[in-house]
Amino acid sequence: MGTHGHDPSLQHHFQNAQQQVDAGRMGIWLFLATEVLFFGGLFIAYAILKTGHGATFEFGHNQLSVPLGALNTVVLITSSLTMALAVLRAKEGNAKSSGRYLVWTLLFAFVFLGVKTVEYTAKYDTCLLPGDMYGLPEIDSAGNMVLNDQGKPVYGAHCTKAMEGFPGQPWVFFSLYFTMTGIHALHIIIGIGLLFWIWLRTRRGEFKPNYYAPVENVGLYWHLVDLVWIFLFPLLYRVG
Amino acid sequence: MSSQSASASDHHHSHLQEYLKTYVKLMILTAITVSASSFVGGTSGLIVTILISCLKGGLVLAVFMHLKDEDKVYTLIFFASLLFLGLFFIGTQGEWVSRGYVNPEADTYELRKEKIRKELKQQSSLEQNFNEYLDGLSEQAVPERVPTTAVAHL
Repeated sequence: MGTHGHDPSLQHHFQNAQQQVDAGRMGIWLFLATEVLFFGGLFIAYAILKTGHGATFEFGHNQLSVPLGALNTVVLITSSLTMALAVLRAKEGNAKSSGRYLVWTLLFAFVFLGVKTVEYTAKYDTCLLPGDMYGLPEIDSAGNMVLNDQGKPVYGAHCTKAMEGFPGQPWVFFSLYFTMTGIHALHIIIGIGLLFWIWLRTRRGEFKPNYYAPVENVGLYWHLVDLVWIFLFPLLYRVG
Repeated sequence: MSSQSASASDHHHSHLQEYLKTYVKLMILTAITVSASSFVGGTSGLIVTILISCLKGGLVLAVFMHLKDEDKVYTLIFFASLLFLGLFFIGTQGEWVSRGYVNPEADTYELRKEKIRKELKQQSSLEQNFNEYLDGLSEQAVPERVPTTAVAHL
Protein backbone atom coordinates (compact mmCIF):
# COMPACT_ATOMS: atom_id res chain seq x y z
CA MET A 1 0.00 0.00 0.00
CA GLY A 2 1.75 3.15 -1.17
CA THR A 3 1.58 6.11 1.16
CA HIS A 4 3.05 9.60 1.06
CA GLY A 5 4.10 12.10 3.69
CA HIS A 6 1.05 14.14 2.70
CA ASP A 7 -1.45 11.63 4.03
CA PRO A 8 -3.05 13.47 6.99
CA SER A 9 -3.71 10.21 8.87
CA LEU A 10 0.00 9.29 8.83
CA GLN A 11 1.96 10.74 11.74
CA HIS A 12 5.34 12.24 10.85
CA HIS A 13 7.38 9.90 13.05
CA PHE A 14 6.30 6.81 11.06
CA GLN A 15 7.85 5.79 7.77
CA ASN A 16 4.66 4.39 6.33
CA ALA A 17 1.05 3.48 7.18
CA GLN A 18 1.90 -0.17 7.91
CA GLN A 19 4.53 0.81 10.46
CA GLN A 20 2.03 3.13 12.12
CA VAL A 21 -0.62 0.38 12.29
CA ASP A 22 1.87 -2.17 13.64
CA ALA A 23 3.15 0.22 16.33
CA GLY A 24 -0.40 1.03 17.44
CA ARG A 25 -1.40 -2.63 17.49
CA MET A 26 1.69 -3.58 19.48
CA GLY A 27 0.86 -0.78 21.94
CA ILE A 28 -2.73 -1.88 22.45
CA TRP A 29 -1.75 -5.54 22.96
CA LEU A 30 0.85 -4.51 25.56
CA PHE A 31 -1.87 -2.50 27.28
CA LEU A 32 -4.22 -5.50 27.16
CA ALA A 33 -1.47 -7.62 28.76
CA THR A 34 -1.32 -5.15 31.68
CA GLU A 35 -5.11 -5.33 31.92
CA VAL A 36 -4.90 -9.12 32.18
CA LEU A 37 -2.42 -8.77 35.04
CA PHE A 38 -4.62 -6.12 36.70
CA PHE A 39 -7.80 -8.22 36.64
CA GLY A 40 -5.69 -11.34 37.20
CA GLY A 41 -4.63 -10.01 40.62
CA LEU A 42 -8.31 -9.85 41.58
CA PHE A 43 -8.89 -13.39 40.30
CA ILE A 44 -5.96 -14.56 42.47
CA ALA A 45 -7.60 -12.82 45.45
CA TYR A 46 -10.79 -14.70 44.55
CA ALA A 47 -8.93 -18.03 44.54
CA ILE A 48 -7.27 -17.39 47.91
CA LEU A 49 -10.44 -16.11 49.62
CA LYS A 50 -12.59 -18.90 48.18
CA THR A 51 -10.15 -21.50 49.52
CA GLY A 52 -10.29 -19.97 52.98
CA HIS A 53 -14.00 -19.05 53.09
CA GLY A 54 -15.72 -21.93 51.29
CA ALA A 55 -19.05 -21.78 53.15
CA THR A 56 -19.16 -17.97 52.98
CA PHE A 57 -18.63 -18.03 49.23
CA GLU A 58 -21.32 -20.65 48.75
CA PHE A 59 -23.72 -18.39 50.61
CA GLY A 60 -22.55 -15.39 48.56
CA HIS A 61 -22.99 -17.14 45.20
CA ASN A 62 -26.56 -17.97 46.14
CA GLN A 63 -27.36 -14.29 46.81
CA LEU A 64 -26.55 -13.22 43.23
CA SER A 65 -29.18 -13.33 40.50
CA VAL A 66 -28.13 -15.88 37.88
CA PRO A 67 -30.79 -14.75 35.31
CA LEU A 68 -29.53 -11.14 35.48
CA GLY A 69 -25.90 -12.26 35.29
CA ALA A 70 -26.67 -14.52 32.33
CA LEU A 71 -28.59 -11.69 30.65
CA ASN A 72 -25.57 -9.42 31.00
CA THR A 73 -23.34 -12.15 29.55
CA VAL A 74 -25.59 -12.37 26.49
CA VAL A 75 -25.70 -8.56 26.19
CA LEU A 76 -21.92 -8.24 26.36
CA ILE A 77 -21.18 -11.07 23.91
CA THR A 78 -23.71 -9.53 21.49
CA SER A 79 -21.97 -6.17 21.87
CA SER A 80 -18.68 -7.91 21.05
CA LEU A 81 -20.26 -9.19 17.82
CA THR A 82 -21.53 -5.73 16.81
CA MET A 83 -18.10 -4.28 17.66
CA ALA A 84 -16.36 -6.86 15.47
CA LEU A 85 -18.80 -6.03 12.65
CA ALA A 86 -18.16 -2.27 13.11
CA VAL A 87 -14.43 -2.92 12.64
CA LEU A 88 -15.13 -5.13 9.61
CA ARG A 89 -17.27 -2.42 7.96
CA ALA A 90 -14.70 0.27 8.75
CA LYS A 91 -12.03 -1.89 7.09
CA GLU A 92 -14.34 -2.25 4.11
CA GLY A 93 -14.77 1.53 3.92
CA ASN A 94 -18.48 1.45 4.74
CA ALA A 95 -18.56 4.25 7.33
CA LYS A 96 -22.34 4.42 7.52
CA SER A 97 -22.73 0.74 8.41
CA SER A 98 -19.73 0.90 10.74
CA GLY A 99 -21.31 3.83 12.60
CA ARG A 100 -24.58 1.96 12.95
CA TYR A 101 -22.83 -1.05 14.49
CA LEU A 102 -21.01 1.30 16.88
CA VAL A 103 -24.38 2.71 18.00
CA TRP A 104 -25.62 -0.84 18.62
CA THR A 105 -22.48 -1.56 20.65
CA LEU A 106 -23.06 1.62 22.70
CA LEU A 107 -26.69 0.63 23.24
CA PHE A 108 -25.69 -2.81 24.58
CA ALA A 109 -23.12 -1.15 26.84
CA PHE A 110 -25.86 0.98 28.40
CA VAL A 111 -28.14 -2.05 28.77
CA PHE A 112 -25.31 -3.81 30.60
CA LEU A 113 -24.91 -0.89 33.01
CA GLY A 114 -28.70 -0.75 33.49
CA VAL A 115 -28.88 -4.41 34.50
CA LYS A 116 -25.86 -3.86 36.77
CA THR A 117 -27.70 -0.94 38.43
CA VAL A 118 -30.72 -3.18 39.11
CA GLU A 119 -28.42 -5.78 40.69
CA TYR A 120 -26.52 -3.24 42.84
CA THR A 121 -29.81 -1.69 44.01
CA ALA A 122 -31.09 -5.11 45.08
CA LYS A 123 -27.87 -5.73 47.01
CA TYR A 124 -28.13 -2.32 48.69
CA ASP A 125 -31.78 -2.84 49.63
CA THR A 126 -30.97 -6.14 51.37
CA CYS A 127 -27.79 -4.63 52.93
CA LEU A 128 -25.50 -7.24 51.36
CA LEU A 129 -22.63 -4.77 51.18
CA PRO A 130 -18.82 -4.91 51.34
CA GLY A 131 -16.70 -4.73 54.50
CA ASP A 132 -17.96 -2.61 57.40
CA MET A 133 -21.01 -1.55 55.39
CA TYR A 134 -22.44 -5.08 55.52
CA GLY A 135 -25.88 -4.93 57.19
CA LEU A 136 -25.58 -1.12 57.50
CA PRO A 137 -24.58 -1.47 61.19
CA GLU A 138 -25.35 1.16 63.82
CA ILE A 139 -22.43 3.50 64.46
CA ASP A 140 -21.87 5.41 67.71
CA SER A 141 -20.70 9.04 67.90
CA ALA A 142 -17.03 7.94 67.95
CA GLY A 143 -17.56 6.15 64.62
CA ASN A 144 -17.33 2.62 66.09
CA MET A 145 -19.79 -0.18 65.49
CA VAL A 146 -22.38 -0.58 68.23
CA LEU A 147 -22.15 -4.15 69.60
CA ASN A 148 -24.93 -6.09 71.33
CA ASP A 149 -24.43 -8.28 74.46
CA GLN A 150 -23.20 -11.15 72.25
CA GLY A 151 -20.49 -8.89 70.82
CA LYS A 152 -22.15 -8.81 67.38
CA PRO A 153 -22.81 -5.60 65.43
CA VAL A 154 -26.35 -4.22 65.50
CA TYR A 155 -27.56 -4.29 61.90
CA GLY A 156 -29.96 -1.79 60.37
CA ALA A 157 -33.63 -2.48 61.11
CA HIS A 158 -34.60 -3.25 57.50
CA CYS A 159 -31.53 -5.46 56.91
CA THR A 160 -33.37 -8.71 57.64
CA LYS A 161 -31.36 -10.55 54.98
CA ALA A 162 -28.03 -9.58 56.54
CA MET A 163 -29.36 -10.42 60.04
CA GLU A 164 -30.17 -14.04 59.17
CA GLY A 165 -26.76 -15.10 60.44
CA PHE A 166 -24.70 -16.46 57.57
CA PRO A 167 -21.60 -18.65 57.83
CA GLY A 168 -18.18 -17.06 58.18
CA GLN A 169 -17.67 -13.48 57.08
CA PRO A 170 -20.11 -12.77 54.20
CA TRP A 171 -18.78 -9.20 53.87
CA VAL A 172 -15.56 -10.73 52.50
CA PHE A 173 -17.49 -12.15 49.55
CA PHE A 174 -19.35 -8.89 48.93
CA SER A 175 -16.14 -6.84 49.15
CA LEU A 176 -14.73 -8.99 46.35
CA TYR A 177 -17.99 -8.96 44.38
CA PHE A 178 -18.29 -5.16 44.42
CA THR A 179 -14.57 -4.64 43.71
CA MET A 180 -14.47 -7.01 40.73
CA THR A 181 -17.79 -6.04 39.13
CA GLY A 182 -17.27 -2.36 40.00
CA ILE A 183 -13.89 -2.17 38.29
CA HIS A 184 -15.33 -4.08 35.36
CA ALA A 185 -18.25 -1.60 35.17
CA LEU A 186 -15.71 1.25 35.25
CA HIS A 187 -14.10 -0.34 32.18
CA ILE A 188 -17.52 -0.40 30.51
CA ILE A 189 -17.99 3.32 31.29
CA ILE A 190 -14.55 4.15 29.85
CA GLY A 191 -15.44 1.95 26.86
CA ILE A 192 -18.63 3.95 26.30
CA GLY A 193 -16.52 7.13 26.15
CA LEU A 194 -14.14 5.52 23.65
CA LEU A 195 -16.97 4.13 21.51
CA PHE A 196 -18.65 7.54 21.43
CA TRP A 197 -15.38 9.19 20.37
CA ILE A 198 -14.86 6.60 17.60
CA TRP A 199 -18.48 7.00 16.49
CA LEU A 200 -18.03 10.79 16.16
CA ARG A 201 -14.86 10.29 14.10
CA THR A 202 -16.64 7.72 11.94
CA ARG A 203 -19.46 10.20 11.34
CA ARG A 204 -16.89 12.81 10.32
CA GLY A 205 -15.65 10.30 7.74
CA GLU A 206 -12.13 10.11 9.16
CA PHE A 207 -11.74 6.35 8.59
CA LYS A 208 -11.04 4.60 5.32
CA PRO A 209 -9.80 1.15 4.31
CA ASN A 210 -6.14 2.20 4.68
CA TYR A 211 -6.74 3.99 8.01
CA TYR A 212 -9.11 2.49 10.57
CA ALA A 213 -6.68 1.49 13.34
CA PRO A 214 -8.46 3.54 16.06
CA VAL A 215 -11.70 1.61 15.43
CA GLU A 216 -9.80 -1.67 15.56
CA ASN A 217 -7.92 -0.79 18.75
CA VAL A 218 -11.02 0.41 20.61
CA GLY A 219 -12.59 -2.86 19.44
CA LEU A 220 -9.72 -4.86 20.97
CA TYR A 221 -10.24 -3.03 24.28
CA TRP A 222 -13.98 -3.74 24.13
CA HIS A 223 -13.42 -7.45 23.44
CA LEU A 224 -11.11 -7.66 26.45
CA VAL A 225 -13.82 -6.16 28.68
CA ASP A 226 -16.11 -8.89 27.33
CA LEU A 227 -13.40 -11.49 27.95
CA VAL A 228 -13.08 -10.48 31.62
CA TRP A 229 -16.85 -10.78 32.08
CA ILE A 230 -16.81 -14.27 30.53
CA PHE A 231 -14.68 -15.32 33.53
CA LEU A 232 -16.35 -13.09 36.13
CA PHE A 233 -19.85 -14.39 35.50
CA PRO A 234 -19.41 -18.11 36.26
CA LEU A 235 -16.93 -17.49 39.08
CA LEU A 236 -19.12 -15.00 40.96
CA TYR A 237 -22.64 -16.14 40.10
CA ARG A 238 -22.61 -19.88 39.60
CA VAL A 239 -20.05 -22.02 41.24
CA GLY A 240 -20.90 -23.42 44.66
CA MET B 1 -9.56 -3.54 -10.02
CA SER B 2 -12.97 -5.21 -10.29
CA SER B 3 -11.54 -8.64 -9.50
CA GLN B 4 -9.74 -7.12 -6.53
CA SER B 5 -12.94 -5.69 -5.06
CA ALA B 6 -14.76 -8.97 -5.75
CA SER B 7 -12.16 -10.90 -3.76
CA ALA B 8 -12.33 -8.27 -1.02
CA SER B 9 -16.10 -8.72 -0.83
CA ASP B 10 -15.69 -12.52 -0.65
CA HIS B 11 -13.18 -12.00 2.13
CA HIS B 12 -15.66 -9.77 3.93
CA HIS B 13 -18.46 -12.29 3.45
CA SER B 14 -16.40 -15.13 4.97
CA HIS B 15 -15.49 -12.91 7.93
CA LEU B 16 -19.14 -12.09 8.53
CA GLN B 17 -20.06 -15.77 8.49
CA GLU B 18 -17.19 -16.60 10.82
CA TYR B 19 -18.27 -13.91 13.31
CA LEU B 20 -21.86 -15.14 13.30
CA LYS B 21 -20.75 -18.75 13.77
CA THR B 22 -18.52 -17.71 16.67
CA TYR B 23 -21.39 -15.76 18.20
CA VAL B 24 -23.65 -18.84 18.08
CA LYS B 25 -20.89 -20.96 19.64
CA LEU B 26 -20.44 -18.42 22.45
CA MET B 27 -24.19 -18.41 23.12
CA ILE B 28 -24.33 -22.22 23.27
CA LEU B 29 -21.36 -22.29 25.67
CA THR B 30 -23.06 -19.64 27.84
CA ALA B 31 -26.21 -21.79 27.98
CA ILE B 32 -24.07 -24.78 29.01
CA THR B 33 -22.39 -22.71 31.76
CA VAL B 34 -25.74 -21.56 33.12
CA SER B 35 -27.24 -25.07 33.16
CA ALA B 36 -24.02 -26.91 34.15
CA SER B 37 -24.25 -26.27 37.88
CA SER B 38 -27.51 -28.20 38.10
CA PHE B 39 -25.78 -31.44 37.15
CA VAL B 40 -22.18 -30.88 38.24
CA GLY B 41 -21.42 -29.19 41.53
CA GLY B 42 -18.49 -28.61 43.85
CA THR B 43 -14.89 -28.66 42.68
CA SER B 44 -15.61 -30.59 39.47
CA GLY B 45 -18.31 -28.04 38.61
CA LEU B 46 -15.79 -25.24 39.20
CA ILE B 47 -13.26 -26.92 36.88
CA VAL B 48 -15.91 -27.51 34.18
CA THR B 49 -17.08 -23.88 34.22
CA ILE B 50 -13.51 -22.57 34.14
CA LEU B 51 -12.73 -24.83 31.16
CA ILE B 52 -15.85 -23.60 29.32
CA SER B 53 -14.82 -20.00 30.09
CA CYS B 54 -11.34 -20.69 28.70
CA LEU B 55 -12.93 -22.06 25.53
CA LYS B 56 -15.14 -18.97 25.20
CA GLY B 57 -12.19 -16.67 25.90
CA GLY B 58 -10.16 -18.52 23.27
CA LEU B 59 -12.91 -17.99 20.67
CA VAL B 60 -13.11 -14.25 21.44
CA LEU B 61 -9.30 -13.93 21.25
CA ALA B 62 -8.90 -15.98 18.08
CA VAL B 63 -11.84 -14.65 16.03
CA PHE B 64 -13.12 -11.32 17.36
CA MET B 65 -9.65 -10.11 18.33
CA HIS B 66 -8.11 -11.64 15.15
CA LEU B 67 -5.25 -13.37 16.97
CA LYS B 68 -5.40 -16.37 14.62
CA ASP B 69 -4.83 -14.18 11.53
CA GLU B 70 -2.33 -11.76 13.05
CA ASP B 71 1.40 -11.93 13.49
CA LYS B 72 2.12 -14.40 16.32
CA VAL B 73 3.94 -11.72 18.32
CA TYR B 74 0.57 -10.43 19.65
CA THR B 75 -0.39 -13.93 20.81
CA LEU B 76 3.00 -14.14 22.51
CA ILE B 77 2.46 -10.81 24.32
CA PHE B 78 -0.96 -11.86 25.54
CA PHE B 79 0.04 -15.33 26.69
CA ALA B 80 3.17 -13.97 28.37
CA SER B 81 0.87 -12.04 30.70
CA LEU B 82 -1.06 -15.26 31.38
CA LEU B 83 2.23 -17.04 32.12
CA PHE B 84 3.10 -14.51 34.82
CA LEU B 85 -0.44 -14.72 36.17
CA GLY B 86 0.03 -18.51 36.38
CA LEU B 87 3.27 -18.06 38.37
CA PHE B 88 1.45 -15.67 40.72
CA PHE B 89 -1.34 -18.23 41.15
CA ILE B 90 1.00 -21.15 41.80
CA GLY B 91 2.95 -19.14 44.37
CA THR B 92 -0.04 -17.89 46.37
CA GLN B 93 -2.30 -20.93 46.10
CA GLY B 94 0.63 -23.29 46.65
CA GLU B 95 1.47 -21.50 49.89
CA TRP B 96 -2.12 -21.77 51.12
CA VAL B 97 -2.44 -25.45 50.23
CA SER B 98 0.99 -26.56 51.51
CA ARG B 99 0.97 -24.76 54.88
CA GLY B 100 0.03 -27.88 56.86
CA TYR B 101 3.00 -29.84 55.45
CA VAL B 102 5.58 -27.24 56.46
CA ASN B 103 4.19 -26.37 59.88
CA PRO B 104 1.45 -28.60 61.29
CA GLU B 105 0.47 -25.80 63.72
CA ALA B 106 -0.08 -23.27 60.94
CA ASP B 107 -3.50 -21.83 60.15
CA THR B 108 -4.61 -24.01 57.23
CA TYR B 109 -7.86 -24.45 55.42
CA GLU B 110 -8.06 -28.06 56.63
CA LEU B 111 -7.49 -27.01 60.25
CA ARG B 112 -10.24 -24.40 59.93
CA LYS B 113 -12.64 -26.98 58.54
CA GLU B 114 -11.71 -29.38 61.36
CA LYS B 115 -12.38 -26.67 63.94
CA ILE B 116 -15.78 -25.84 62.48
CA ARG B 117 -16.64 -29.56 62.32
CA LYS B 118 -15.71 -29.95 66.02
CA GLU B 119 -17.81 -26.94 66.99
CA LEU B 120 -20.79 -28.23 65.03
CA LYS B 121 -20.40 -31.67 66.65
CA GLN B 122 -20.23 -30.14 70.11
CA GLN B 123 -23.26 -28.04 69.35
CA SER B 124 -25.27 -31.00 68.05
CA SER B 125 -24.29 -33.17 71.05
CA LEU B 126 -25.38 -30.34 73.36
CA GLU B 127 -28.63 -30.17 71.46
CA GLN B 128 -29.04 -33.91 71.77
CA ASN B 129 -28.43 -33.74 75.53
CA PHE B 130 -30.95 -30.95 75.80
CA ASN B 131 -33.52 -32.92 73.82
CA GLU B 132 -32.95 -35.99 76.03
CA TYR B 133 -33.34 -33.75 79.06
CA LEU B 134 -36.62 -32.41 77.67
CA ASP B 135 -37.82 -35.94 76.91
CA GLY B 136 -36.95 -36.97 80.47
CA LEU B 137 -38.92 -34.04 81.82
CA SER B 138 -42.01 -34.93 79.85
CA GLU B 139 -41.74 -38.58 80.90
CA GLN B 140 -41.65 -37.49 84.52
CA ALA B 141 -44.49 -35.13 83.87
CA VAL B 142 -46.70 -37.87 82.43
CA PRO B 143 -47.80 -39.50 85.70
CA GLU B 144 -48.59 -36.11 87.19
CA ARG B 145 -50.69 -35.07 84.26
CA VAL B 146 -52.54 -38.34 83.72
CA PRO B 147 -54.98 -38.57 86.61
CA THR B 148 -54.21 -42.23 87.43
CA THR B 149 -54.19 -41.42 91.12
CA ALA B 150 -57.58 -39.87 90.74
CA VAL B 151 -58.80 -43.07 89.09
CA ALA B 152 -57.38 -45.10 91.98
CA HIS B 153 -59.18 -42.91 94.44
CA LEU B 154 -62.45 -43.60 92.73
